Order: sequence, then C-alpha cells, then structure tokens
Amino acid sequence: MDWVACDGHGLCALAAPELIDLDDWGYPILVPIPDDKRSQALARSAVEACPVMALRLEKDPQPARR
Amino acid sequence: MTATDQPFFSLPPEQTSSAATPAAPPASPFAAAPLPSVAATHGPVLLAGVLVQPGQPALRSPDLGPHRAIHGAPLLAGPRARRQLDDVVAIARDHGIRGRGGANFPFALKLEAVARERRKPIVVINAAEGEPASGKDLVLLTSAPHLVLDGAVTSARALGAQEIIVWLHHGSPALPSVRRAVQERSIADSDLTFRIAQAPDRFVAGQATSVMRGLSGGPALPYTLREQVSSKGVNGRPTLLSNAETFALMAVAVQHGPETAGQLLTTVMDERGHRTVVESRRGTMVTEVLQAAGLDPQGRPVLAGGYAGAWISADHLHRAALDDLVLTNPDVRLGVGLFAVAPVGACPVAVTSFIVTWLAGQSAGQCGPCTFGLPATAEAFQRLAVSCALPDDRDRLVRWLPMLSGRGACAHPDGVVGLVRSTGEVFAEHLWQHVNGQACDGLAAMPVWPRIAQRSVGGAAQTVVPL
Repeated sequence: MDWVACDGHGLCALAAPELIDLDDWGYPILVPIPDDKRSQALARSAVEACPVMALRLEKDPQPARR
Repeated sequence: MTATDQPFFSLPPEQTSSAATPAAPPASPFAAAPLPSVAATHGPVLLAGVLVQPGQPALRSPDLGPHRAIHGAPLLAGPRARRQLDDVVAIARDHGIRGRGGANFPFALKLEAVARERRKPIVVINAAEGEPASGKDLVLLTSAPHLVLDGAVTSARALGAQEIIVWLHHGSPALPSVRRAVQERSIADSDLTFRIAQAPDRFVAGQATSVMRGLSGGPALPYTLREQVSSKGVNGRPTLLSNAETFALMAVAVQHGPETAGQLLTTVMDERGHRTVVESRRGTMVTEVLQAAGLDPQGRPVLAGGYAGAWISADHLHRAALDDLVLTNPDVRLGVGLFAVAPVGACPVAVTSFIVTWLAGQSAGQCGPCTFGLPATAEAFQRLAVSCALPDDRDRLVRWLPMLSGRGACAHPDGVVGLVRSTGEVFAEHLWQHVNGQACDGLAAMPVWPRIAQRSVGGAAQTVVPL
C-alpha cells in the first residue's frame, strides 16, 4: 500500500468489498489476503481498480518500515 | 530616487559589499530556545571536557586539537581502512549501539546492510532533531561536533564512502559550530568531502525517508519506501543514515574502548521548559537521571520518550531504568530519551490535547489517515480537555486509534496514538472525569513547554481557550 499515493477514491473497496473496508475518512483498511483463488482474484481486481496505482499485491507483508 | 540609468538586474554597490559578511539567518523557533544545561549520572564520556559544572550549559565546541587530546582520532584513512570494516561492525555490535533518533535500530545491522552494496555509499548524519523538547543532539553539535564527525569519519572510511553530509534544521543554533568543525575536518581529513544540508523546520523532516528525499532534490517529506535506504538512499546511492548521537557513540566506542559501552544522552525538561541534557548509562534508574537534572517528580505527571512518547505512572517511574526499547513496560519507549515533568496538579488530558494538536499540525498532509485522522483525534481530545466532550467522543477515539497506527509512509500517526493511549493507561480515572463533563482545575497549571507553551499560557490570565 502506497499511503502517499492513495487519495481515498475507494474503488478498491467497491471492487473487493469482502476484503477491503474503508475507514471513517474513506481510506482502505487492508487485511492479509486468504490463500484461495477467489480471494486472490478479488485482491487483483482491487489492485487494478485503483486509479492512482497505490496498491500492489505482494507475497509477504513488507518488512518493518525503516 | 532610483536612477533609470542604473543596470536593472545588479544590486546597488553597498548591498553587494554586505554579501561578503553573511546576513543572520531568519529567526527560527529553534534559535529562540536557550541552550540546555548539562549534567551526568556517571563520569562523562560524550560530554568529557565540555561538562564543567553540572546544571550549567556545556562549553562551546573545542577546536580539533583539544578534541583530539580528549577523544583521540577516528579510524585512519588509507587502503587498510576498508579491511577494518569487520572490526568496526563488531565494535558497534559489542557496544550494542542503537539508533538514538528514536527508532533504536541496531547500528551494526545498518553498517552491514550498506557494506553489502557494491556501489560507493554516502554517510548522512541526521541532526534534524525534530522533537521540540529534545536537546541532546543540539548539545552534542554545539559542544562536541568533532565527536559526531569522528563517528561518521570512521564509518565512512570503513565503508569506503567519500562523502559525509550533515542534515541540520534551517537556522539551527548548532550551525556555526558545525560549520567550523566541518571546515577544520575538510583540511584534517582531506580524503573525505563534508557538506552541510539544511532541513526545513518541520517535525517530520528528520524522518529517514524525508532526509533521503530532501537530499535527493525533492521535498523533505516522508515517502513510501520500496527499497531500503541502505541500498537506495541519497540520489539512489547506498546510504548510511543515522542520528547525530549514534555517530558520537560510535566514535566513543572506537576511540575509548569497551568500558564506555552503554553511554547515552537523555533530555530532562522541567515544567518551565528548562532542559538539562544528562549523560548516563543504559540501566541507570530514571529517577537518578532526573535527580542529576535537579528534579524530583513527586507524583507529578511525567512524559517519557518525546512528545510522541507516552505518559508514565509515578509507580512505574520509580521502577524504570534507561533501557534500549522499553522502560519495563512495552508501551513506554525510550524514544529520543526525553523526560518531561509537568507542574503539580497539571491536567494531563489538557497537556496531551495541546501536544496532539501540535503533532496533528505537523502532519505532512500526504497520507489520508494522518491528514484527516490526526486533526479529528485532536479535536475530540480538545473537547475532552475542556470537559465538553460530545456523547460519542470516547467511542470515536476508541474506533480511530487502531485506524491510525501503521497506516502511513512514516510512523508519525503511530506516535500520536501511543501518546493518547498512554493517557488512558496512566490517567484513566481522570480521563473519565473529563468524559463525564466534570470540571477540572488542572487547566490553570500548564507547563511552559516548547511549541505548546504559547497556547497553554497565553496572556496575563492563565486561561485555556478551547481551540
């Protein structure tokens, strides 16, 4: 998730409502994606829906911020 | 009055001549604060030779000659320096040197990460002490800048770097001493180039990614890190970035040996905003540190770690020792090592409200949860502070806090969350009184702390105006 890029369009939550919730200000609340085909496809559609390309699908969560 | 035959774009002669003597930098809030006093709980090493009388400001920076007489010299230049990298890393590890900018990241790991890169690295000294109350880096840079540079020189030579950059707040009172030290080093250590870069006067400008972006020609604002600073930092080059004190600790470790392991600086601030930088050792009791600064909290509210730190209970304070990450409670971190003592009877909810409001205003405005969540949290807390909470303000705070942590390019919102949570842990009863609308007379006894004082103690009457 690129927080600087995200402008809170909310399209990811429309594309994958089962996976992504929006917070009180319209920004996505991300969760680890379950390892099944349907969830993975949903996650990909959420990534593709983002108009500013703020989302990426990664195998492992990013290592701790440094 | 202006003659039309004058060249249009050149300055009149008297102004060109005044350019030779540089004009005073514009007044910065950093310049207004007096230099902190210094004290020590153990024999001073970082402050050796400059701490003359405890409770008084440290001496100004000694020239390179006297500095060498006290601290010796860093790793020498030459083809053998790089072969000593393993020794330098081992010293950093054995001394347990950790980043003293607040993150506590082991310095040895940073050195190793940069050493793994094949390209020539850059060394950056982060001296943009963003915490308004912290004064330890300021004291080091005004009194012992050569010690900070020694650590950077040793690291640079071991890593084969040729460039050292000092990242300093614009208008910092440390600028003259740093400039002078850098001039001396440019001659004494001519194998390296030294440069001072000035950071904007902003809380998040000292954040690691802000430094990288600022030094690479962008705005000094945090960004989402795809690659580590150690491999792709300034202008895409491998970068060893660490806090000024961390480099000084590295110098002490290399030049004084193992008996100095665990030295560190903390800042103690009293209710009137007077600061004392205390040199002590890891494991020292916090009460001892406060004592060295001439303070006995006696049940007054104490803020630990920084403005983005946490309140610490009186009971906890008496058991707490200076430690790397936690002060016997995982929620209270050493951070930049600030201990701020509020006045007797001060309302911690109101003090927190001022700090949270200031911190919210320091958001870079880049990430949504921080841009919108922090002001919303600050507003809710302001209502709490003046006992005018809306019926669902508590529920909102409970819902918002998890929505703020870990959701941004930097940890700025996480710091605010930590501070707000600690109010609930240490002052739960008092907080409930505010939630329930009971009047609080602690609003009259507010501390005069940097950046929040002008709001809390306004004119003659000590009234707190709801913001």
